[in-house]
Amino acid sequence: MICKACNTILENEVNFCPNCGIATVKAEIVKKSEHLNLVIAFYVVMLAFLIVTVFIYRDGTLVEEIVVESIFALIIVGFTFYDFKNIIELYRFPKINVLLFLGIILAPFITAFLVYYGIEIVNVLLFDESQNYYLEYVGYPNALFWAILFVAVLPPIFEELAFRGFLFNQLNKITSAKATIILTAFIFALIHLSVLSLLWIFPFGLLLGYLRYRYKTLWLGMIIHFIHNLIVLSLDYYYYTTLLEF
Amino acid sequence: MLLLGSYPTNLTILFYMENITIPRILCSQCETEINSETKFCTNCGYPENGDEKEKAHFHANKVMKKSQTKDDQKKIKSARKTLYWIAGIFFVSGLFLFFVLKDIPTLIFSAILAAIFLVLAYWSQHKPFAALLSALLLYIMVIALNAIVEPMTIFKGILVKVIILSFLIKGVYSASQNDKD
Repeated sequence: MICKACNTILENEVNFCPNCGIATVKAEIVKKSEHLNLVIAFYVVMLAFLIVTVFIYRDGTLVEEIVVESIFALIIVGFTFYDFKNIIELYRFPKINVLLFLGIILAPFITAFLVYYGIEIVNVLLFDESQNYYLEYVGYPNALFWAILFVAVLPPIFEELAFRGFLFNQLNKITSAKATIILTAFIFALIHLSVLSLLWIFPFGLLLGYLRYRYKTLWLGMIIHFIHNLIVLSLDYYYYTTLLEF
Repeated sequence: MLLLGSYPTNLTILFYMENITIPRILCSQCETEINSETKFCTNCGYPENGDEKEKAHFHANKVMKKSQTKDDQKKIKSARKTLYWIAGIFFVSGLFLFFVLKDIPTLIFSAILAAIFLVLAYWSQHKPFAALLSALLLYIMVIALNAIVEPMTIFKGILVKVIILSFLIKGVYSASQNDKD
């Protein structure tokens, strides 16, 4: 460590430079509020973007959908440039054993079925309606391809980068790992724009955040997230096609 | 004999020992051992070997820092009180809408929100930063969701909203400065 004010070489874990008396901790405090600025800026930009898309995008066309998804991806990639070096390292493949790998494959089966039927019950009880992801893509040519791309492939890639990559790194510089996992899960749930989804996306986010913390990689979260979304979409596709037969 | 000459003699060993047994200097403020040649204590920043002016400056800074942390604690406390207020506002407005419009989903949402803010207020005693940041972001989300359903709601009670937001933001920044593991 080198003192930023007078370039004296400092021993490790020193609070003040012995030569000029400048606090080394003070710099950290200033940095903390910079990280907090970034977190809040990211959240507000995301939220503003989502609200704008809700207004434009009531009955969107395929081109609109592609534009919206591209802007979403660009915003996230733009923010990652603030912390490019540390985020790139999260794309290293982790060394995992067979048991963990099986867990990663099996966990989304449990979460997907729980969420699919759990949320279905609550939705029907409270609002007397049910949501079908596939239905939103039926109007497009090659509906299944676009549905898989926009529901199962792109969200895991960019949401993991945003929440377990960028946000996780920023928050971890302000607070402890435990609080970081909870906060990223909470923001992940909030951004999905539904009070109801807090119930299941929050614990899902806790799981993904813990894996990111434990194995220091985004890959595990991306795999779980992908399989989870794919199962939910498949169930929607299955119910859509079987309902058509009647 | 020639070889022996290159080893330290008894005299030089004595010289080294004398150097080691020089009474260690402790910082008069925090009693950390300090180097006699440098001006500042590396633990608390006290200018042990500085002049009177520098020492006075240190004490003035120390007092300011103390009042800064006190100020931060105050801001965190006000933010916590704000959370109780938010919970109360949501619960009462939920009840009101239920009795006027017989709107059950809104009542349930309001009650859930009020409960979440109460939990966050309690949590802010142990983890002020995490709790207050969650509360701030959730509150912004509620305003945004209301605006999606009914754009004019953004201007309803805008003064109260701004006051609540400013208390929460001050609380979050104060808490972030003092957050430890």
